[in-house]
Amino acid sequence: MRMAPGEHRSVAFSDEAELEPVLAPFVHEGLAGRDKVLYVTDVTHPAVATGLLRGWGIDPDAYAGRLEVRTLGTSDPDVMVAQLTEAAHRARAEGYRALRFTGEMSWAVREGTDSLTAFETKVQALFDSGVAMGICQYDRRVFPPVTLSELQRLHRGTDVDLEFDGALLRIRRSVDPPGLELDGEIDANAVDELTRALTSAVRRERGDVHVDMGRISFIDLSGLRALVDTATSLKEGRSLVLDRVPEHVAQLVGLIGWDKAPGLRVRGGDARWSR
Amino acid sequence: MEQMIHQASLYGSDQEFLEMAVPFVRDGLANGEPVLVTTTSGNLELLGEALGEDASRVDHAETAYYGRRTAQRATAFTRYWRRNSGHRRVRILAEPVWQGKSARDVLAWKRMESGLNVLLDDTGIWMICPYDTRSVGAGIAEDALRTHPSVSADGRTAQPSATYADPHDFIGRCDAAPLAAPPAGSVSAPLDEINDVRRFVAEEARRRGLAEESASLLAVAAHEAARYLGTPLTAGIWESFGAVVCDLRRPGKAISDPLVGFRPPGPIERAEDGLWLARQVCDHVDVRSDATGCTIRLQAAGPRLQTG
Repeated sequence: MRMAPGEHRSVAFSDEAELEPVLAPFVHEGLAGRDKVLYVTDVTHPAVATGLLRGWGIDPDAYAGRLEVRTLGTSDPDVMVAQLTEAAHRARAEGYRALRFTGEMSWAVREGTDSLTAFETKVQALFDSGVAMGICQYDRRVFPPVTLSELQRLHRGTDVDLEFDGALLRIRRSVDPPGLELDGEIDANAVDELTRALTSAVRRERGDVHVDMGRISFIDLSGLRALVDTATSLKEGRSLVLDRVPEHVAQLVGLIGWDKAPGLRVRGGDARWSR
Repeated sequence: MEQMIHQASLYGSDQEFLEMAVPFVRDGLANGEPVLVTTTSGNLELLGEALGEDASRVDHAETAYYGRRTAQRATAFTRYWRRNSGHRRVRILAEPVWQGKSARDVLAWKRMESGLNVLLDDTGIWMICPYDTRSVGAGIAEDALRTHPSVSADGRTAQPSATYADPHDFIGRCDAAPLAAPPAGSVSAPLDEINDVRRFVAEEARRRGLAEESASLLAVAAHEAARYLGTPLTAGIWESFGAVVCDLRRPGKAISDPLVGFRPPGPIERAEDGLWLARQVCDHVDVRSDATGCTIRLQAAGPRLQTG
């Protein structure tokens, strides 16, 4: 994954196993290179985080003085950024290239969105100065979906194809076939985001717009309606193509009679789209 | 558009059936009106022979497969009307299956017959419902006169039914008995979030052996019912012979429309669309409100259902 000083990413996870593919290479890379690593926890005990690192094949004892795991002592964004700034400058003074920071952001659920925005903006300024880089950890189980999608804007570098990253639903742009990939559950709470992503996909693409439904575990009537409304609003000659539609979802679409909706094509679960 | 007409026709012989059905169908065809006949295979054959060449212009369906459950039946009628929306008058001869039905199913179909007076009120449907007095019990024939405003013997003229009951009163009597209490083996949980409702139901349904697809459909039904009721609510689930049953109870809520969820969705989203979907997916959906709250009971086929 290769990260350079100045970069600011985030990882949203629903259980600790999802941290590994992002954080393990981040830490490995820093230790293999010329960076110092700071892992800051909030609700997790530092010993647990140390255990996670060991599980990822990183022995903190072997990197004493270079890899530090500690608990956040404050919930004040100014104090936090001041501490990080100090740590980054110390790392530089000690001859390292930069400070690699990763931290649990669950404190922001207690402190509120304003504190979080203040932190993310200030820490971005620190990263921009070139002495540090970081990955903020967002636990989907504690952050409201709205906050998570808001945060996407502050971490644009992360994943440019990710259009929405909510607690229950992830929407990603796809290039081949052109359209969207949906992952998770769609209910009335996610419909606005889904509609927004569909509208921009329709505007972005010229021909058919594909929606990969293969990782949708649940969709309710309001979600189906958002798909159908998008399909029926398309100009003659274009279609909204639902790929890898789960069996029970295809059945629901048929019951409602939307399988015959103009502009909508529903494809079954087994056949992946032909390239 | 013409006024909706809903008539019963009690017949005791094949000849009596034909004396009503043939003029009803022929007049419709002569007027250029769409005509749908949904009755037993025996009556379809009788009518087909009597109509001769005219039979080829009649829309038909064997009644057992034209809306297996009442909400599906009502939806099929509404859709037939919508598909023929250019016409002022659409004729439907609709004879449900009565023989061999459980008491519960008989009640559900009587309830629907009464409800059609309300559900189809804004259509130009002329519907005649034949009742075969050789096979239906006296109770069913008597209630046919309560659920149809008029009676026709010849498919042309009609006498008002003296015992016709206001649909809300009739349905109120159908729903008078309280729902049976959940059995000892049921599990229940208080749930605050709608996503927990669907997960709880899907998980418990799977645990009771429902295949992934059936469990997912029941979860969708529960989710939509919960969306209509609102949260927090208490969900309960259990098995009875041939069925998985799920209760959703919301304290302080009341649902007053007894026909909620019987009207199929249209282009504009309505709150009851989700309940319509639940009624399509489930074998039974019962809605009961009392002084302390409202319960929606969903029943789906159990894990040992065979489909051939």
